[in-house]
Amino acid sequence: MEDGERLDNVNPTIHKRLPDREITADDDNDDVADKIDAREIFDLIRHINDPEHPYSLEDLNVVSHSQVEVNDEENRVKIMFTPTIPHCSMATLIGLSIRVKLIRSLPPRFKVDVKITPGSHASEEAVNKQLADKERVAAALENNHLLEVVNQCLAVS
Amino acid sequence: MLGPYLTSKENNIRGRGTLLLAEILHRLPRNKLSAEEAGLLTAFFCDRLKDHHSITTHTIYGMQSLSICSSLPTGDAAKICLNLFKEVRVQSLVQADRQSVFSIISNFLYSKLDELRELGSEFVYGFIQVMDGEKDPRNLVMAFQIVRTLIDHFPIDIFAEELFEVTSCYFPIDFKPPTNDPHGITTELLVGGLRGCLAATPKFAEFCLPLLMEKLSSQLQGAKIDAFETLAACASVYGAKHLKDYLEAVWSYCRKEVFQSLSQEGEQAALGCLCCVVKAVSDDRKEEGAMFSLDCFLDDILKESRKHINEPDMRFIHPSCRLLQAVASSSEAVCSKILAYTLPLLLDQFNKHPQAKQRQSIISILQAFIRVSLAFPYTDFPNPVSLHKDAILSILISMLSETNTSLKSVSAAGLGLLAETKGLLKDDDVVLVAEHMTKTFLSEGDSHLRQESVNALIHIATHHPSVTEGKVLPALLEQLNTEPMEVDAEGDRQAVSHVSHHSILNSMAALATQPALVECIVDRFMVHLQSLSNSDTSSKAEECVSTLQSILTVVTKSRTDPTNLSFFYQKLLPQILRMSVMAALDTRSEVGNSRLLCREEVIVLLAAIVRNVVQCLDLSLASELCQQYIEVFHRHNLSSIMSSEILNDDTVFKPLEIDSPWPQTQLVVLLTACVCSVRRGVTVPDQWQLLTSLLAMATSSDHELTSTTAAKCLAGLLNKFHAGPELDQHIQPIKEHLLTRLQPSNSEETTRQRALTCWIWLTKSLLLRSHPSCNQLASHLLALFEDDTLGTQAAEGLHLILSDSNDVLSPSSHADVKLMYRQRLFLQLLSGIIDGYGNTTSGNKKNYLLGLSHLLHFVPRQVLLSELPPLMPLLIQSLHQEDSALYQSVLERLALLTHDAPGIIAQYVDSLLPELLRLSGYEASMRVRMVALKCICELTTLEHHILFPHKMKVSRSLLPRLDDKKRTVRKEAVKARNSWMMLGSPAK
Repeated sequence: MEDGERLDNVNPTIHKRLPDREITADDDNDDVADKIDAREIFDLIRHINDPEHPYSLEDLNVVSHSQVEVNDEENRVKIMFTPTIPHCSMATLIGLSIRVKLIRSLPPRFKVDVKITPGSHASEEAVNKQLADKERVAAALENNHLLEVVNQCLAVS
Repeated sequence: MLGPYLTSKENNIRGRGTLLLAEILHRLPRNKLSAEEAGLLTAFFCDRLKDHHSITTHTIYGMQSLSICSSLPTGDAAKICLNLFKEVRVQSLVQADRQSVFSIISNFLYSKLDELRELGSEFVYGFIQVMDGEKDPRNLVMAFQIVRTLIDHFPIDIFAEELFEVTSCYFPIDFKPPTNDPHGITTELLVGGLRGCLAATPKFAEFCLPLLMEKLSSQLQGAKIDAFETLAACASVYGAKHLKDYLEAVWSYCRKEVFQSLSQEGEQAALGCLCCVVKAVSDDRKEEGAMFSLDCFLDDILKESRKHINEPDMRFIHPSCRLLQAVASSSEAVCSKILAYTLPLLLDQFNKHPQAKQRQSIISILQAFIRVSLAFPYTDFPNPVSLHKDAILSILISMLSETNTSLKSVSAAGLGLLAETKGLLKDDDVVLVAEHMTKTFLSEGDSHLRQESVNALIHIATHHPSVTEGKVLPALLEQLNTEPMEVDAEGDRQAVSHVSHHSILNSMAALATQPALVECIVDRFMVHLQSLSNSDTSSKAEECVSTLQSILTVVTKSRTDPTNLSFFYQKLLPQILRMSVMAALDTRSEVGNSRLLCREEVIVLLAAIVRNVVQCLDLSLASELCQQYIEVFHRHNLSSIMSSEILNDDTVFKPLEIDSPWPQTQLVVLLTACVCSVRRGVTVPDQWQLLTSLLAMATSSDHELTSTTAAKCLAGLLNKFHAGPELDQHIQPIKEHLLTRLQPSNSEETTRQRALTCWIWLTKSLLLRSHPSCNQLASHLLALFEDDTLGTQAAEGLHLILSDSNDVLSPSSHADVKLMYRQRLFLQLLSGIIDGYGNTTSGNKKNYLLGLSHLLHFVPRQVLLSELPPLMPLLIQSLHQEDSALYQSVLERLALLTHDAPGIIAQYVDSLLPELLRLSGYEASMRVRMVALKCICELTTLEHHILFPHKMKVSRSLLPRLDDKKRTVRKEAVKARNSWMMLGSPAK
């Protein structure tokens, strides 16, 4: 297509969104403690905007409910995300956005892993390494320009 | 007198003289001057234009006042304009003077158009010079309007290009009004004005189209969208003659926009533009060669799209078809041609792709095309869908037996669409679709799919009511009458029901779209209700409630139709009254307590149905109905609703007496629904005696529903009685009666509470109609804040008084509601509350704060802004009281205030934030935690410099809240913390 040089993936497939979480009677009961579960984490990241398209990560199936693992007792969260195409240049940015969103939204007791779904990206290892490196993530957030781009992904649309 | 000054040799003295003259003229009424005077002044001012440049300003100001003068002699308007054009270099003046010039011209164009038209092109040329180079948005808005008038009324031909140049140079407009701009100029105003000029005449076409094409290829999204929208506006004016050569170009720009899909807005603009351009070409029959170009163009794009549709990986099928749909929606001829070509292609593709996902895409594309085809009547061209109707129908029906539910949902939606298309399906087809949809609805488990099938059934009900009555309803009813069965109970049943009776009832209510169906469906509901009530088991209570809710839905939705209304009045209402009275009379009910029709939730729903019907009745029917109700309830005469054989001699029906059993007394709910919902002007028989009985019940009945409703009924009636001494006479004893019972010394607690409830309703009723005694009632209510047992209830009462009630005393029940009653109460009680708060004991302080919070909730924004500042310290004080209800109410208020009065809240951020952060961890109530967090989140809408000093502290303090034990609280905490972290980022 001659028109689409600017974008990596010109015409992404749009997936169906999950319905909103249903509110149960327990949710309104002050005495019941609700655990942090996979759905809750997924609800945190599903609305992150894709850097390229006017869609959310959920719309593009970059993140999905089934790719979120949580262990509330052991304070661990593991998230896999799948770039829309294997050579997507935005993979690091998407991963960084997920990370920043969770840093801002999860209690500090959790250890969070954000990784690319195995086999879904050309430079999987490099990206994973960058995302796992605390120093690098912190350094990235010192960079005002980068922070701005991340904030745009996290903006409530 | 002014003579020597106006002729002085000193420039500035002449100038001041002229200014004084101009100022005087501005202060004169517009019809004060005689024709001679006006003529003289015109000559004078025109002459002054030739004078020293410092005087020009004042002269123009003077001319402006002449331009609205009604007695200006003929010819003077032209004279003024020509002199302005000739003597003044407008663009060298300051903004205010330029604005005066524009308003002189625009005033004359309004009042002296014919005179100016005689000037012809000379005027046009003069104006072009005036406007050339204008930069101020305020002036441009006026200038664009003037240009429109010129185009409509003047010969612009020789200057068309010049006129186009001076206007089009502003395209596209990228003006952003400064914040708190006092002039009210918006981007939309300018864009609209300019677009109006460009689209005003086909004479601009040859200049405008190249310009638009250039902008369509712009990299700036805003410019591109503006260009698309402007082209869409111009298309119908420019016509085929100019557009036919641009079809290709427009198509390729639109295609680029849609394929890139950078933003929804851009895509919508592009598609809209494409549709308008094609429509303009196709509608223009006169232009030779237009049809030919259009045909060639359509052939080209169809050929191109064919490639996309036939691509095996379907990468571009969606955007490509969206483009085709936009083109097809332009006219009947084009639609016919495009669909005739595309539908077979899509059907063919459908057969080539076996996977559910692809098929689902193709079906939804098919639907979008069919939807486009609905817009045209097909008088001159064949309906392209009907050619392929059978193929589409059979595909959709066969997909219903697939396993993939989303595929099935799409197919069901498609069938609904076919049913919606007029004259498309034959009767047999409709029956077939109806049967399939009914079966799908009854046997499928997926709620989305069921909803789609119900939607399809609704379309069938709207367009083919007889099929619904003959086929659909019987099937649903049969299901309704069978008990929900276990899967293994009956192995031979093919369709095991997944459907609850509740959802069958809901869908039946949704099908009542036509009067014939309304009657039929409500009848079946009533039969069903009767059979439920006979079964006498409390397990049916839920279903009973659903049935009534469904009746209520049907009634509220269809009561405006006179046929339906008369059916409700003649059949439904008597039936409800009879059933309820019978149930109340049934002596078994006293023992068992399980009679369904005596349950509170049931009786309240029955009343809601009655109320909704009565609200629509005209005066005579309503009077008749009131008569009947009074006969039954007050005069104990049951003959109108049941024959005497059923009644035993010993049956006693005295619902308005306190000693009667509660199933009878609670029927006051029905009575209320009738007598309080009639139009004003209906006289209720025996009204004064009725009041006495109601008062007695309100204060003495032990049954809570009875006593509360009696109080409401009393309030509802008093609100509508004619004003006058008779009314005042009757209010007085009621007040005294209640006051005695409110005395702390001589009554027990429950009696006092009931009396207070009644007092609150009475206050509301009289406040709404702004009866003089409402002040005293309200003051006494305030006095009760001091009462140890009733204080809180009295404070809560303010909420009841100020909020809208949905049954009695609402405008839909024809209550007498005077304007601004909320402000009146606010102003009356405010000082009392502030003083009371200052003087009372610490235990009762919270009552005043609660009352204040309720008052603030309902007061309109304008009043609030002026009254709020002195109250803020009080509100912040209330965050120190230990009381959940108070916290919640005040915090909710603060959240709204942040929106409505940001300037005031901003002054208190320093003292508010620590309190809010403390309450966001308030252990005793999750609600308080949630709304505290909501407030914290709301604060981020304030100005940045106020918040920035707190950013670090807030983000740190919110960390523990992210680990709250309640999920809903965590959600608010996440929202608040993220909003604070985003502060200062333009993305927000």
